Amino acid sequence: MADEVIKVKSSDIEKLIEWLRRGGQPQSLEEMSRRLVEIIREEATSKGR
Amino acid sequence: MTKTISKAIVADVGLVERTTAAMLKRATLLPIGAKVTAELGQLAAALGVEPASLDATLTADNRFQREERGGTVYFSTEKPGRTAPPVADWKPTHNFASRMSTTATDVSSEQRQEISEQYAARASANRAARLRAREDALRAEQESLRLATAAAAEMLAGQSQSSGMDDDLLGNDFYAPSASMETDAGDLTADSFIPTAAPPSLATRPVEQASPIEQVSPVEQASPVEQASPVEQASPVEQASPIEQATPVAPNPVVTAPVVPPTVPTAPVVPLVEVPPAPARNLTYLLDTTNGQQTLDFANSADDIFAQYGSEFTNLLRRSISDDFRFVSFAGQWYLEDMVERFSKGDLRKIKDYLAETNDALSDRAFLADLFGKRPEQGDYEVWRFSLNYRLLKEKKEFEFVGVADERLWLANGATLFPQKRKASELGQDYRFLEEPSLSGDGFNVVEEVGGKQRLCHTLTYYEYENGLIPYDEAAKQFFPGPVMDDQRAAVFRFESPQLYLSFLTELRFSSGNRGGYIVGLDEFYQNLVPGATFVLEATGRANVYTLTYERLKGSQEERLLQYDERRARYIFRPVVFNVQTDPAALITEAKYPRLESSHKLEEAERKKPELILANAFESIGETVERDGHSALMTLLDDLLPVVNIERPFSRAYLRALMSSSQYPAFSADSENEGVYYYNPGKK
Repeated sequence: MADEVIKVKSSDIEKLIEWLRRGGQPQSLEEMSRRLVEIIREEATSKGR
Repeated sequence: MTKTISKAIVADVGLVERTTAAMLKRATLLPIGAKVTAELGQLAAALGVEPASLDATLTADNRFQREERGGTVYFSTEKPGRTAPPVADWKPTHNFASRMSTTATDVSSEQRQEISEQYAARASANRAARLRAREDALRAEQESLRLATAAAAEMLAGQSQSSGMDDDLLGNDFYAPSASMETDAGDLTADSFIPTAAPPSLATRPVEQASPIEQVSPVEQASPVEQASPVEQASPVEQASPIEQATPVAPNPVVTAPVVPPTVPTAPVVPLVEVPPAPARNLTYLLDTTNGQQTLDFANSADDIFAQYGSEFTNLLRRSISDDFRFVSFAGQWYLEDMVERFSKGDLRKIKDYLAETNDALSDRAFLADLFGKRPEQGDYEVWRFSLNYRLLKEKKEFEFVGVADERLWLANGATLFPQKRKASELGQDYRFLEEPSLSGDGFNVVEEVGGKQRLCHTLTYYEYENGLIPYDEAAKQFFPGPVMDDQRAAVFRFESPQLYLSFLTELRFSSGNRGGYIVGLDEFYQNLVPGATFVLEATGRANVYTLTYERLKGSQEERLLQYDERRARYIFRPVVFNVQTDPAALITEAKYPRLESSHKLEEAERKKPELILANAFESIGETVERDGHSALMTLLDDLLPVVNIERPFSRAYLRALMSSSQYPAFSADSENEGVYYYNPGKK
């Protein structure tokens, strides 16, 4: 099976929103990207995307 | 005579009324009918009459009572007023009986007492009957249990008396509600809301403890039949409601059933089948990058992935959320729109007034501290800071952002920090060539790196000296931070000169469209320098603060330098003493350029044409030579550069490009000697 191309899904954005909301602080785009990598990786390793 | 008497009476009547009014003023807070007392002397003084006449008048009036205590005369009266008559024949029209029952008959208090006593007696009798019934039921239960225990013991002892026991056992229907229960139920419907206290010996005795079957019979406990018996599991003795618990419990009839060998359920034998291992999850994905699709393995840690593909994920995320209305951003920071603090129009007016009052560029931190009482120690400080900046950015008609990434400064829109000799648009046009990278380089700014810190070295030209500028060329773009916003016009910096104990604001006006950028506001600092001087700019720990230093010479130097005489409207050389480091090639001295003495400024229309400035410079400093059979003016590029920079800024690259351009054939470069240029006026 060919590898899947990574795209930012709406569920990823929802998790990012929840992370921002819990943090209660504005974040840089870099920090948010780092969190996005963690979110995508968690999902890929647990159940696949 | 009659008339005199009647006048006296009228006067007395008026005095009585005034006295009453004066006394009632003291009785404002007293109830109607209360006694109001006042001293005669005080009353007379208040009314302005003789005490004797007032005494006589009030004594004659039966509404006042005269008292004399300790030689002092007091008069008292009652506070008048209308009181409501007492109600003698009131009957309740909104009582319980009239609201709840239209057929209720009114009863006297004696009848009510009698009814209550009768009701209490009935309730007491009911309670006693119910207790008796409960006791009977429990007694019957005990008896039946005793019989059942005995029967079970006999049976287990091998005495086969099953027929008799069966009769005994089958004679009772243990699952049918008993008569006592029916009685209880009947009582409960009538009198169930009266709490009753059962005799302690009965009430505290648990029904399960009364059942000896499972407790006293070790054989039965060991019997797997009974343990597996579904009948016993469904036995109401253990699962019944409290009412059912009162039911007499007899020995379970299951004990009479023939003993069946226990059947231990065994699991069906399943042949062992080797479970195939789950296929390994594919953790490699493809990521779109600027270099095409790259394979990314999520088996690596998130940190490793981010270190390798951080910029790709940042771009991916930016594309995803830039149009998402739930996100808002300011200066590289992102937050949720619904969590941004709100500011009222009044808040914005306060900020505007503060800016107008100080006539300065102020930071967001100043607004938060001075206008909103926010301190960095507070947990929500960064949210407030972000929210304030985000809100001010939306008010483009009122406020202008002039900060850098972490130093967020604001100006009132249209405010002028630096009054200029030339319009900003003219300066931008003069520096237009800086927008062409090939022409911008090789200028007067040079970026050096000393001890890991960048510094910008600059050689001052006459044009910059006159206008207080530093060009925003390629080197300066490398040194200064770029605009934070796409449409940011300017950024305000603070330059500090420790040698001069000087600290002043400057404004970097970013290039836009066809206008070049420059830094303005150095006029005061330049008063300590001369055109051709060199100085150094260094960054500090704060993103918008820079240190300005220049090298001081040990001894003073005196030169006749070019200056513009406003009164005579021409350039002249004047002796100037200075002790700053200069670039000798950039100094415009009389010794080097004697023909510039008494030269005029170019007209504005001429100044806008670079070729005219060049031609004028050649005529001022060029040496007449023969070239290609024609008379031409020759000069070196290094000599030409300071002179053309009197009227208009030129970089070395720009100058070279102009003189090599086919658009201006009058200028040409010497093919054999680098840096030598000619101007042939006949080739215009």
